[in-house]
Amino acid sequence: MRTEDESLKSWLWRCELLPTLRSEPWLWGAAGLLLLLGLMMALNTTYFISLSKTGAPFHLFKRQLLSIALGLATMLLFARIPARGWQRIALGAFAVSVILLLALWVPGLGITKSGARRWLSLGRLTIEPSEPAKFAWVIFLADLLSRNEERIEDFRRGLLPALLVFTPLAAIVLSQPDFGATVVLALLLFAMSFAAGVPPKQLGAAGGGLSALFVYQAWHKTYRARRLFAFAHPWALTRSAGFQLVQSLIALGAGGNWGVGLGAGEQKMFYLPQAHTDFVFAVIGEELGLAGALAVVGLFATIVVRGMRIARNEPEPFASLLAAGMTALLALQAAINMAVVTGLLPTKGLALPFLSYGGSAMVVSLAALGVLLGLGRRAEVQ
Amino acid sequence: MISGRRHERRRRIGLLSLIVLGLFAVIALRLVMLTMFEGPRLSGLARAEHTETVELNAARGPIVDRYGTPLALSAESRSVFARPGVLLRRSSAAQRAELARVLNLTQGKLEARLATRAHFVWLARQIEPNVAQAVEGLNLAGVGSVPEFKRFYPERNLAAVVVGMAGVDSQGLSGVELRYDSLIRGAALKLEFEHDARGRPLLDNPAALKEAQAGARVMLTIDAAIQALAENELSRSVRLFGAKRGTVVVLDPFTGEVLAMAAAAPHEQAGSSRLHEPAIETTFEPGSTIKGLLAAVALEDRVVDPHTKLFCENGQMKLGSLTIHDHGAHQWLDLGQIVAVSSNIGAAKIALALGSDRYFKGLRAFGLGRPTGIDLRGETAGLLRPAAAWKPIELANHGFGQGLAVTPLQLAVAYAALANGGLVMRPYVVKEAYDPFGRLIFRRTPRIARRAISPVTAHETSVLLRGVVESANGTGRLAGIQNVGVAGKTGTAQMVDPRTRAYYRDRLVASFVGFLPAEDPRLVILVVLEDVGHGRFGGLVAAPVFRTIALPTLERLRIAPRPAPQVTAGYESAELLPLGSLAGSRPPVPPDDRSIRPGSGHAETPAFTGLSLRQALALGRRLGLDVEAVGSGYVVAQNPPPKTPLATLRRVEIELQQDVNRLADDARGVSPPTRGTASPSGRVRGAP
Repeated sequence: MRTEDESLKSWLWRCELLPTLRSEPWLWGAAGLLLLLGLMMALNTTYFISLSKTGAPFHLFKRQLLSIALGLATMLLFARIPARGWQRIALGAFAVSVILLLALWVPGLGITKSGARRWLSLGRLTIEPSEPAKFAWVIFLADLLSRNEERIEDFRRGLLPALLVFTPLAAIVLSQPDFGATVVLALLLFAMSFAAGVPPKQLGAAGGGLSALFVYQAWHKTYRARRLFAFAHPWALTRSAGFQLVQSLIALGAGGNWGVGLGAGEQKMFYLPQAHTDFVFAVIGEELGLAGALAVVGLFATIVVRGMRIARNEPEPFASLLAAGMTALLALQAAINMAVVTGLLPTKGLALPFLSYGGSAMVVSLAALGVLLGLGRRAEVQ
Repeated sequence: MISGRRHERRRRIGLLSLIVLGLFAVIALRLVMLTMFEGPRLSGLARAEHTETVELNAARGPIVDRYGTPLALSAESRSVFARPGVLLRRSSAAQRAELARVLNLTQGKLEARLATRAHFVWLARQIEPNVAQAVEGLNLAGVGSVPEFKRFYPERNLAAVVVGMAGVDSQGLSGVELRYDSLIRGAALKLEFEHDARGRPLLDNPAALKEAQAGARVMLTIDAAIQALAENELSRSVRLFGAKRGTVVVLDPFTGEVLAMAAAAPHEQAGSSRLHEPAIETTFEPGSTIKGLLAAVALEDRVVDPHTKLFCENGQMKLGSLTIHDHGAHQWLDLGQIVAVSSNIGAAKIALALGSDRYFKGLRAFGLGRPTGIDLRGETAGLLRPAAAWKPIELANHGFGQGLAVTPLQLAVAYAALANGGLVMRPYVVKEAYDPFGRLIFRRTPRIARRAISPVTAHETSVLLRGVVESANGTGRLAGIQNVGVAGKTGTAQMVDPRTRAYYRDRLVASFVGFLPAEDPRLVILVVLEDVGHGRFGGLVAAPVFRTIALPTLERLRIAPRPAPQVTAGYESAELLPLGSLAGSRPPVPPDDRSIRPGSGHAETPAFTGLSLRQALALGRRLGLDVEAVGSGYVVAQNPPPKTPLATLRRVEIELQQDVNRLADDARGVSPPTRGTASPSGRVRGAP
């Protein structure tokens, strides 16, 4: 007779949850801690915003719980998909993500908030298509670059096709406009091309060209120029464009070494705009202090180390690039977000993986983690 | 080849992870630097942002005269504030309209005040407590009221030039209010508001505000009765003689205490009397009043003795291009006669005999050309040019008071030195200060500034000056008082046209300065009437004012037996003072004192209801009770109620309200309602 305990264990085993978790404890441990912290921050930062917007203090928190549940399910599902499977659906997934991006322009589907058409309304579900696009872009690039691995140094075989796909994709994303996502897509292109073996000279040339384009974009759109100026002189514009950054720095400074205590921060009470989304890291700094902020950096660093280790150990080019890309997807967004919050980069509008409020980003981050866990387990099995 | 590819990929992925980790390291470093180097500044900014500090001023301490008559008091009122963000978020337009109506503001004005990024604004300062109560009754989030103290002057403009005034933020602006501001102001209470705290903050502890923070009680040297007398007599004569301005200074010559300092300027704007102190700010040419000082300096330096006779040139003397005139054609006059008839020629001769240096030094010793050092701000030094700059003609002019300028106080202080055996005292207006618990903070002791002349010279000079008042041909006969020796000097100076720097023919400064009793001086009184017309000589217009002030004051200070009533031609004697009788040495009592006296068997609290604040305060003072007033206007409630045994009581709280009808009645001469009737809107506190 099998006990209840044994049957549960067997079920978990068949779902490959236990083998998956056993193989990469550091990776999922770090992500899990971030997720837990994110849960607490969501509870505590959305309380006031939720109260003032809907009158129900836990409305946003409940939505976030739902997103996390959906994300965890996605993670478990994706952890079971082998690398071959990803390669097979690479093109299709990318096509679907592009269709979703284009669907933003279908009247009645795209939702425009504060001047950006970024959200797709599908019944009760609202998704941000640029998030799955990042995910699909990683798979697509891993496929494209691994196919041409033999002649990767050849510009026309290596980097050029990727650039040719990137250009319309970037145009679509920029049209929303979503500058942050575009930057992430570009950085993923460079990171993965570099990993695949594209000569640094080519990357440098392409990087120079893209940077020039971005600078043009920045000056073209006055609000971006204003953001850039505010970034350079935040204290000159504490009331307007520099407001967010100044409030973010104030939050970090107010936290000191050990923070004012979880939940006790005051900056989230309408002082710091987007305290629950893009600037959640500042609230962590205020409430948990330097110690908490450094711990978050350390957890992301752990994810980088473990994720890149999977990529290094993977013999197959596609799987290796896929692991490197998924790791880069999590790491680069985290790095950019934290750099913005600490005033090292101008404001972008990027979520902090696992920590920021927001369903699409949460599901995609957990999905990326699932891909990594799956690859890691198989690497171990082999 | 393939393994080579794989090796290269491993290397590159390793490099990639190093780059990403490097980014994280930069972020970590940035975090450490932010916390270490900018942390204190940033957390300071956070505090500044989350809290607003509002200073609640303490009750300004009372200013009282030398017998305790309050000249400046603070009454509790309330001020209504708003936190605009909270109020606008949590109230409807209709609620705000109601708020505006209660505060008697237009809604536009209210909204304008709320349209600010500040976290705290005042909506109404120092209003009646019942209005604040009505505001509290609206129960709006983001609106509250705090106690504030409103300065008021229960004796209205009495001694305004000395007391000065304080602004709405409890800051001294002039007079004693300014000079002793740090003492009077007390310690403000700092209140911090947390912005996102909900509901109204609890700042409401008026008792603590009063007891712990209140300012010092400052006691002046001023005697309110003498001050009132001086003000009344001065303004009457200013009106009578058409003077542009008048000043009276009454000093105690032994101590330098200022007993009264009055100014009257009928043509100046009402209210400016609190901002200016003409007795220490304005200067005038002393004219013949200088001759008293000239005689003293000459006697001290033995240039003349009281019996020296000088030839007065039959009333005209040419000195270079200048011709000096006397009012009469005098021949040989001794020093006393020169002073008594105020001979310019005699004075000029004495000045020439003294020489510039000695005369200058003598005048300096009397305090001319330098501030007296009185404890008030804004004193001017007058004008006394250095002796080296005097030409012989100017030396002669200085002999009869031309070419130099003094403040009224300077002249009074110089004459006080003549009355005080030659010692120049530093004048002062604040005698003592007490903390809110009645403990003495300081007591001013008289300070000697310097010795001007020897006691012998001072005595000889006072004999000369008695001749001015008492001799048959003296110019100051109208200052004389029967049975009391009066020493003094008249002065009539032509005013200088500021444009041409020439003398006006018919615009005069008439003055009289003197002391009494001459044998044992207790009072120095200076009267200056500026800008009077032709023929208004000091002896004619200023000397009688001196006398009308001196008479009741002598009586009040019990210096001399009451002289037989004596009416000097063209000038009636002083009337009774509005403050009450000057006969007693006790502070004056208002006429409506409800016939309750301590120890008369009625040892119960009286009914204050219906009394004006002034009347209530006087009643309390008479019974030895501290009266605490809330609001202004007329008493509508009191605590404890009437007929409470007085034995254990020290303090009575009264509540006052403005009542337009009552005010109108009062103006028509209708007496206040009978005791016990509160006004319909009145809130009776602690009623049995």
